[in-house]
Amino acid sequence: MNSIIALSLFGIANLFLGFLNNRKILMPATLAFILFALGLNLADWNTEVLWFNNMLRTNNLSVNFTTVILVATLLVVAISRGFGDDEEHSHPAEYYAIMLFSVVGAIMMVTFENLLMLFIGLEILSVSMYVLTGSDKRNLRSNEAALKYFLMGAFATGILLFGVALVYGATGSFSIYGIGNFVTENRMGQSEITPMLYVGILLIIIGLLFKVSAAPFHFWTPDVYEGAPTIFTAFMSTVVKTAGFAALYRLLSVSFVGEYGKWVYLLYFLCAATLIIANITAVYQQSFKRMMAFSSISHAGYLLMTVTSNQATTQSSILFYSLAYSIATVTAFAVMILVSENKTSNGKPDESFDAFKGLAKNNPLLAFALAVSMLSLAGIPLTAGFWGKFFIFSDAFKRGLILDLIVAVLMSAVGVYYYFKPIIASYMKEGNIQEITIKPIYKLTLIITTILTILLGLMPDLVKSIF
Amino acid sequence: MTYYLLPKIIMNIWYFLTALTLLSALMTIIAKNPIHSVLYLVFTFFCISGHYVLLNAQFLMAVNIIVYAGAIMVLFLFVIMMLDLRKNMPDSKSNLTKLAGAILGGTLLVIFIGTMRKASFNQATILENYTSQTGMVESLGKILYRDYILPFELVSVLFFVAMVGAVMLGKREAGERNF
Amino acid sequence: MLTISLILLPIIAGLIILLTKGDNPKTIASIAAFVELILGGYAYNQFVPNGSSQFGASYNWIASAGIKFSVGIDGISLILVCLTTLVVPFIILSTFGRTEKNAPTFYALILFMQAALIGVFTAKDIFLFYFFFEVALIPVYFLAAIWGGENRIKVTFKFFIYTLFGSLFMLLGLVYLYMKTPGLHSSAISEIYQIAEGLNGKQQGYLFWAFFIAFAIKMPVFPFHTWQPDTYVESPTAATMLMSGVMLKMGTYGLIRILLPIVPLGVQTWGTTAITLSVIGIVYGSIIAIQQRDMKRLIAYSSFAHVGLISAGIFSRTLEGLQGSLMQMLAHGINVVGLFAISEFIFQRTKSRDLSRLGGITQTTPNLTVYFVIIMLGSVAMPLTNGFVGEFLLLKGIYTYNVWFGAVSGLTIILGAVYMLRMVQKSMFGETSKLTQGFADLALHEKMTLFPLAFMVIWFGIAPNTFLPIIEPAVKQLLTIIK
Repeated sequence: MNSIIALSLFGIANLFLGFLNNRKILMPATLAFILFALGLNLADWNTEVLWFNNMLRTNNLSVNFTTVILVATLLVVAISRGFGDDEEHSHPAEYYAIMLFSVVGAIMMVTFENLLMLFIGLEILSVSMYVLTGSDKRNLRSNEAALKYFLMGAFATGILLFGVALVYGATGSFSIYGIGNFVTENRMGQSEITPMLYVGILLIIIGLLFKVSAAPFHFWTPDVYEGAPTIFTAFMSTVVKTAGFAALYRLLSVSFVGEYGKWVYLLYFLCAATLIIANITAVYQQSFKRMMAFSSISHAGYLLMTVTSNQATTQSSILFYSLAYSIATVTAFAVMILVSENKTSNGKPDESFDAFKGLAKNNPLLAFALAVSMLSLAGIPLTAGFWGKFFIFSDAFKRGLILDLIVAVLMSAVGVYYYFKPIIASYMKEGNIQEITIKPIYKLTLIITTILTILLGLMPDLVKSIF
Repeated sequence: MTYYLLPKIIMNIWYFLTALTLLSALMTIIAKNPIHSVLYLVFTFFCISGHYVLLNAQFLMAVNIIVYAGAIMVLFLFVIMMLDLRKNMPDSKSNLTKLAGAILGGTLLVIFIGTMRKASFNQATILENYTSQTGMVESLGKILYRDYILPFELVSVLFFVAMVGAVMLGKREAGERNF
Repeated sequence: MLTISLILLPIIAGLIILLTKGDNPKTIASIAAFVELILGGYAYNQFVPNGSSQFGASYNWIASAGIKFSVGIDGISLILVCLTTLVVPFIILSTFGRTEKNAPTFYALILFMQAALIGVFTAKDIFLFYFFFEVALIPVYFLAAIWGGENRIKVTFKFFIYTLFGSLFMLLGLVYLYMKTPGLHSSAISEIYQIAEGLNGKQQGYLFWAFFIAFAIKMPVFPFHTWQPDTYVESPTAATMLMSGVMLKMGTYGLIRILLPIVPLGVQTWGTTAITLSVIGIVYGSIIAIQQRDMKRLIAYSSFAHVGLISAGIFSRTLEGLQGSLMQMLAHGINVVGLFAISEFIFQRTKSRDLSRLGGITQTTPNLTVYFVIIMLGSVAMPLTNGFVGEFLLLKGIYTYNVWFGAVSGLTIILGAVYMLRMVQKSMFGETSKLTQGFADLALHEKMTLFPLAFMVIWFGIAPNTFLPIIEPAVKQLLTIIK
């Protein structure tokens, strides 16, 4: 709660900072704001507080998820390079401010106790994302992406809201524990549970699955991720997913766990479908950015697997996987930004795999960071991504989700294929990329994320014991 | 399912309003001329406000008319009148798409009808609490500013983002569009 | 402590090479490898052959999941640790002939590979085993893909994905077993053995195939071998030596350590299929090897054939079969490294590995011929060489299991003799060709590579008891577990 207030105020502060002529102060200021909010968040460790008439709940789970979200935001801001490239065409103060506001929405989605807060948090996050997606005004793809995201997102929010209304009508309560009590105390057959509840659950799940881009609600993801400016794609694919899965997990594990037998089959098959569709389509992509979009859909599939299994360890699995995945994705996009801007073809940055050819010769740090992040996303041991997948597989085994496990294993192997394309291009193919100059904080971010990935790959317990 | 003996006239008004709502909503999407479409939508909002009155939610009716039909739809009308939309007629979708849309919409309809048929009031909505003041502005204000104060304040963040975003996206910029 | 240092030393040496950026990577690497060899010798010396696991160390790794970092050496592991520490110094020595581009990374990767291999052979926790099993793929993939031949990108990629795909099935099997351990799960191998006793036939059947596919792709066993010849040919010879000398032993070690004790019922049901596939591999590999002109490809197919024999011996589940497989793993490792080293030396001088264009090397370099013949005889399993001990025990084991399998496997000796003798004859004897006329004499590093290898071929042949009594108690204990 404190971090929500702090970030809202800091967002406004950022807008005021934009009045100064000095653009260089914006990024350090934003970093300082996020660190402050992170500090406020961590101060809430081991407390259990309900705020403002059961609207928000602060407990260890919310502190953990908020930490992951804030860390991901910190990394994205660190590689944003101040947005200062283009004096007339960029509005860095607004971008940073909207990013902070969207984090407010994400934190609301993670700490909500009342479904209304979920809705408002979701809307804040989504509207910020619509705006940021379309922020590259001269780029037609960006306009198209923003419009697609807005239309489909608004639709999904509408469906979510309808589901919330139906659930309220069936149970009489907006609070997730209230709904949970109602659902577990009453079973089907008694006059209390009506089909309205099931339709409501279904619509809420659909609305949330849309936001985290699970199949078959993923069709907006490739175009939106590809059209948005790359820095905001990195933000979208990490923060929005983490917040979405936190919300989905809280809802399903607290409110609707009583009717587990009804919705588990839905998620079971959707998880398998997500994995298959995402991985197989990713193989055919020529553009790195689009491939990363499909990869984020496939990671949504893995996370969905552990949400379906709903074990006691699901919470820490989701947290660890989100953390590993966020770090790796931000690294990959960071390298991609530098490489694609280095090699432009008629004014547009080159986002295909060929842009990476020969990267290792003059830019060993970039190539190594890229390789480690790709290995982590693929789930090769020695990286954090492997343990993330391992914990998810363990959870799924406990529940006995055999089909999902087999599909996940097969699709992991398929995933290795497209995750290795950049590695092969950068290390083993010939190209003529000159040495790319990197700003110090950028370099520091890359080094930190790479070390963190390998460190968590060797000793996942550093973080998992906290989660 | 418990029935409530409403006076027959109220039921008739309800049927009439519903028919008007559905008809105008359909006309919104069927109308070829975009201005007609907007006007039908305004009319739909008026009908829904009428429904709100029947549900004893006067405040919602007032707000609906003022905000939705009054402000937002008028804004829509301004924009449509400024753009010349006659040239951009959407091309007709293929038959397969229409069929798929019909099936999906029909399935959704069947689900909703099935839901509503078996719906019943559960113990949570106790009707003794339902006084004549339930939908009124005063009780609504009390709940909004006492129990739901936090979402009320945080919605301001949402509006702020929307304003900043709209201004930022709408600002005129120098230079051509490249690609 | 000893085991941990065996694993850590190559890693530290590799990091030093990378960080000091290239002054004398070869020296540092060879020093590190020799120190490792001394450590390996020390372990061999101190080992007490009583069937227990020694030099153990156990640390909490992922406490929340009950996974421990526990390593230890028992009789079976000791042989393979000795093989790794014996072979890697000579692999490094054999590369002294030319300077690779980006040499620090090259040698660092070889050392990292060694660390991962020793980790696989000494792991006492199944997830640690899996971890090292997978990690070992990474250095060898990069070695092959960056310094390899023309077609290396596609070929090595196929190798990587194929192997990874198999081991993912093994991961599923391991997680399944891990889930069955009581309470807060634990993944120690000893616990898994206990759990495995409670599995019924059908479950064991599934687990058998999960594990067998992973190991069969690694070794390789027919019909999962399609990645092998191309990968061996396209990789730089150092990588090929690592792959055929030690990496494929990961597969056979996995068979002994994981497959046989955990799913004995499954082995009873499907063992005959496995042996059939292995034996088909023996004959198929040998016949194709006879027709090869490229030396490296010929040795690759011969390796495929030899591994078929090892795997058939393992599945025979007899004392002789298992002992023979372990001895043959050691012998085959030494022999194949020697053979690839010789083919590399020939290639460095003549730029060709084509047998039809070589010939008459003995006229200019009789030393090379001597080494070549000795190592070749070891590969053919002539008595007095290391190959003989291994193959004899293997054949006896397979024969005990089934007479016909034994007879067909015995063909390997004959066929092996055919292609090996042909290779030596075509390259060493006969008329000198254009390419081999100016064949320089053996350089110092080449002699230092070949002489010890040839020496070991003969020594282990004459005195197999350097190793046999070590493995016997461990194998006996394994067999009791299986029963």
